[in-house]
Amino acid sequence: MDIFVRDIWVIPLLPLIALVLNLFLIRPLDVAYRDRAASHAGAAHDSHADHSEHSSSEAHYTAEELIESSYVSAIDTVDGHIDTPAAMPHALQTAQQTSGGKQAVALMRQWEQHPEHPHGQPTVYARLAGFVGIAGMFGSFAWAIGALFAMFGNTALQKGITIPLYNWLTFGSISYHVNFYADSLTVVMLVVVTAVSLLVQFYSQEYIESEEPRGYARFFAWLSLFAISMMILTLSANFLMIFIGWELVGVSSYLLIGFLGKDAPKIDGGRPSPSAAALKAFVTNRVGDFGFLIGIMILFAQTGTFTFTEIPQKLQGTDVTLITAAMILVFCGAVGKSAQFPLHVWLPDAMEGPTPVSALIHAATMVAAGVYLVARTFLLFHSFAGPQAAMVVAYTGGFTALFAALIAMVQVDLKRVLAYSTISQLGYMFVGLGVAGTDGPGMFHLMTHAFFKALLFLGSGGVLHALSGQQNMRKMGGLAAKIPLVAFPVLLATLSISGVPFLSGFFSKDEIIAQTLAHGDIALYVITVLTAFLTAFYMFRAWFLTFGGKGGAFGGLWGGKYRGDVHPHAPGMRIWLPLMLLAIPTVFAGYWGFAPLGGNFNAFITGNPAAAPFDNPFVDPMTYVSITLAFLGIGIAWLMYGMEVIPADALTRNPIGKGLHALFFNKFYVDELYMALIRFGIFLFAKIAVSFDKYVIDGIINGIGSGVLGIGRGLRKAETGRLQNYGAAFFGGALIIAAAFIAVVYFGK
Amino acid sequence: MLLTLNSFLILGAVLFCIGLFGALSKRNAVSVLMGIEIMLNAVNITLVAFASSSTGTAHGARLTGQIFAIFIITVAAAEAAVALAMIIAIYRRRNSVDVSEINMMKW
Amino acid sequence: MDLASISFLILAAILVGSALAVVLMNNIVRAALFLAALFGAASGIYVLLNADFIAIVQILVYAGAVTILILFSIMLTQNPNSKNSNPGNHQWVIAALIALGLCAAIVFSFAQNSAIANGAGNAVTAASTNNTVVIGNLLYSPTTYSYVLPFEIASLVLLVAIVGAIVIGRED
Repeated sequence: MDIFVRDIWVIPLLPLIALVLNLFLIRPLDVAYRDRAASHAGAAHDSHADHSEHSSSEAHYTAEELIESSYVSAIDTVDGHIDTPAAMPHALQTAQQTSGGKQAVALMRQWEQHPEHPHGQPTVYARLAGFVGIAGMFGSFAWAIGALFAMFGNTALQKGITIPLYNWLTFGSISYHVNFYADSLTVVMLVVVTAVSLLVQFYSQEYIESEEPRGYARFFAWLSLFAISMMILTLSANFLMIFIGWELVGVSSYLLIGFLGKDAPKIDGGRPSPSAAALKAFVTNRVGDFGFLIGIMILFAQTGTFTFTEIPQKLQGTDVTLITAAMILVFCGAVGKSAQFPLHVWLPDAMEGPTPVSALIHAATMVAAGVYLVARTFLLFHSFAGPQAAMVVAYTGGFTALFAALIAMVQVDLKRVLAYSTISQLGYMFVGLGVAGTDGPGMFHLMTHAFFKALLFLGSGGVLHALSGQQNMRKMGGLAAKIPLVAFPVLLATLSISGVPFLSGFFSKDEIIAQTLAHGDIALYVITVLTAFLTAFYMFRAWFLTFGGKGGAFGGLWGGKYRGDVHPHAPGMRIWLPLMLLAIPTVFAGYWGFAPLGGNFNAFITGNPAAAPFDNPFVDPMTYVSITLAFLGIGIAWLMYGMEVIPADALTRNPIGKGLHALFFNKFYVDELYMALIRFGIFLFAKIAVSFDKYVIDGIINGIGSGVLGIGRGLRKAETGRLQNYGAAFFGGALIIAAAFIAVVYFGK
Repeated sequence: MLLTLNSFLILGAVLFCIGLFGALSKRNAVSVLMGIEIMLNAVNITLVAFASSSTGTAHGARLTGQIFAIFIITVAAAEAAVALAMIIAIYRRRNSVDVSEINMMKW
Repeated sequence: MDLASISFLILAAILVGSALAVVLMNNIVRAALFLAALFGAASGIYVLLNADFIAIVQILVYAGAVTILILFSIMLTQNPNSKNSNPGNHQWVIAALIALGLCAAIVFSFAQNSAIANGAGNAVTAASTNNTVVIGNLLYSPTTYSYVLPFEIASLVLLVAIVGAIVIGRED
C-alpha cells in the first residue's frame, strides 16, 4: 500500500499524459477533421436546399469557415466586395444565389431550429479528447484513494514523507530541489481535487457540447492542465514548488475563465466579458502574489531554504516580528487566491467562465489553495510568528465571511450568489485556521465545502443548461418539478451549507464556530454565528427562487410557478450523475469528524493519533444556538420566497432598508472604489509621471540627442573619406603624444 | 666614431619621416606605395641596427632583429603585390590612380 | 675616419638623397628608379651591420622584385596627358610639418638618451660569425628554439597575397 504514497508522482503524471495527448495530437486531429466533416455536411445541406440550378464552379467554402465567421464576414467570404452596411440586404440576396451563401443560410436556419446545439456537434476526436482527459483523471483519483487508504493507521506516513524528484539548481551551498511531499494534509487535498476534477470532467462532456463544441478538446486539455497545476501545488515540498503550482493554477484559471472569449453571448446585460473577467482574476491575484513572494523571500533570507520541513528548524531564535511580517505577507497570497477581502473582487467576475470551471476551480479546489497554504505553513503561523499573524488570518476570514454573506443575500444572479457564498465559506476556513490549535477544523471545512459547493455549482450549471444560459433567478422558479434529478442533490447541498444537522456542512462549520468560543474570541463567535444565519437565509432564498416558489409542493419547497420564458429541457445522464455522486460525500463526509462514531479527522490530519477529536457538537449547548439560527434563516427564506407570506420587499420599504439593499446589491461599492482609486489615484500619478517624462526625461534625452547631432554635424566634415587625411591625423596625433612625452620627460624637471 | 647605434637609428628616423611625407602628400597611388616602402626600409635598418648592437647571450638573441627584418621583407613583398594589383584594378575601373579622388572611406 | 665610417657616410647620403628624390621628383618613373637606388644603398647599410643575409635578400626582393613590380604598375597606369606624373596633394604642407616634427622628436630623443648614444651602440660593427647559418637554424630548425611556425604562417600570407593579387588584378 505504501507504493501509493511513495510513487505519488503518478497522480500528476496521468493528467499530464492526457494533456499532452489532447493538446498535441487529438486537438489537431479534431480541427483537421472538423473542417472536412463540416464541409461534407454543408454540401449535403446545399444539395438538399437547392431550388435553382447553379454551376458548382465557384470556390467551395467549408461550412466551418462560415460558422466561425459572422453573417457579414460569411457573406463577405462568398461575395468578396461588401464595404458598407447599406449594401447588406442586397449582398444577402446575392449571397443566397451562390452555393457557399446557401450553406451559410442553411446553417443559420439549423441554429435557430436546434437551440440546444446552436453551434453543431463536437467531432469524434473531440469526444475522444474528453474520454482521454477523464481516463487520466480517473487514474489519478484511484491513485489518490489508494494513497488515502495507505495513510489510514500509518502514522509515519501521515506525518509526511519527502519524495525527491530531482535537483533543479545548485548555487554553492544552496540547492533548489524539485521535491514532492506527501502527508495526510496533501492526501486529503488530493482526494478532494481528483474527485471533484473527475466528476467535473465527466459533467463537462455534456455541458461544453452545447456551450462551445469547437473548443471541446481545448477545454479538456485546460482542465487537465489545471489538475496538474493543482497537484503540483498540493504535492510541493517547498515554497519554490508551491509558488510554481500557485502561478500555474493562476494561468489555467485564466485560460478557463476566458474560455468563451470576448464574444460570448450574454442573456442579460451588465456582466463583464469572459476575457475581461479572466484578466481581472489574473491581475488581482498578482497583487496578492507580490506579497506572497516577498514573504517567501524573507523566510528564505532568514533560513536559506525553501523546504517546509527545514524552515522551522532553522528559524529558531529569529526575530518574531520579522517572521510575523513574513507570514502576513505569505497570507497576502492566500488572500488573493482564496478571494478574501480586499482581493475578493475577481471571484464573482470569474463566474463568466463555463459553469464546470466555476465548480472546479472557483468553488472547490483552486480557491481553497490559499487555505491549503495556510494549513501547510500552520506551524509557522502559530509557533513561530507572533499571535498577530494568526489574528490577521482569523479576522480577515471572519470579516470576509460576514461581508460576502451580506452581499449574497440580495444578488439575483444564481452563480453570483454561489460565488459570494464561496467567498464567505472560505472566510470560515480562515477563521478555523486562525483560532484553532490545529489545522484540522479549517481543512475539514475545506473538504466538506469542496463537495457541497461543487455540487451546488454543477447544479446551477444544470439549471443554466436547462434554461439555455439564463442566470437571473427572477426568470426561474419552480424548476424542481421540471428537473428533479438536478434539484434533489442541490437541495441536499443547500441543506448542508445551511448547517442543518447530520449533513457534512453542519459538522465542519459548527466545529469552527465552537473553536472561536474555545479560543475565547466573542467577536469572531458573533460574526460566524451571524454568518451562519445569513448563509441559511441566502441559500434558501436562492433555492426557492430557482427551484421552489408559491404553489409548489410542501409550501413552495418543491416546484412552483415558473417565471422564465425559455422552455426548460431536462439535462442528460452525464449532468445529473455527477450531482448524485457528489451528494454522497455532501451527506456523509462530515462523519469523519464525528467523534461518537469514531471519526477523528483531527488525528489524521495532524498525524498524531493522540490528538483530541473534534467535540461532539450535540453535547455542547452553544451548538443549539447556531442550529436554531440556521433554521430561523431557512424559515424566514421559506416565508418570504417559498410561501410568499411575507412580501420580499418587506425590509426594503423603509429608507434604511433600501439604502442597505443598494449597498449590498452593489457589493459595498468595492469595485467602484477600486475604479475610483485607479481613476483619481493612479491616473493622477500617471499624469504627473507623464509630465515629468515629457519635460524632464524627454528634455534630457532630446537635449542629449540634439547635442550629439550638432557635434556630429560638425565632426562629419572631418570625415572626408580620403585615406591620406586620416593618415595625417594619425601621425599628427603621434607627434602630439611624442611632443607631450618629450616635454614631460626632458623639460618637465 | 660614426658607427654608433645612434647613427643608424637617426638614419632610420630620417628615412622614415621622408617616407611618411611621401605617403601623406602624394596623389599618385604608386607614389604613396613607394613612400610606404621607404618607411618599411627605414624600420628594417633600425631593427638590424638594434640586432647588431645587441649584447644578449641567449640562443639567437643577437639575431632576433634580423629575423624580424626578414619577416617584414616578406610581408612587404606581399603587401606590394596586393597593393599594386588593387591599383591596377582601380585604374581599370576609374581610369585614374589619384587617391584624392577616392573618398569612399566614410560612413 | 676609418673606411667603415666613410662608407656609412656615403651610404647615408645616398639613402637620404634618393629618398628625397623619390618623394620630390615630378616624374614618377625617375622616382621609381631612385627608389631602386635607395634599396641598393640600404643593402650596403646591412652589410655594414654584418647582416649579409638581409643584404642579399634586400637586393633580391626589393631591388629586384618590388622595383620591377612598381615599374610595371606605373607603366600600366600611366596617364600620357599629364606632364606632372607625380603631383602632390592639398595637404603636402601639413604632411611636411608632421614629418619634420616627428623626425625632430625622434632625433632629439636619441640624442638625449646617453645609453643608446654611448653605451651598447659601440659594439655595432664588431666582428661576428657567419650569421647566415645561424639565421637558417633559427628559421628552419624543428628542434631548437626557432621561428618555424611564424615562417610557415608567413608563407601562408604570401600564398594568400599571391592568390589575392591575381583575383583582384584580373580582368572581369
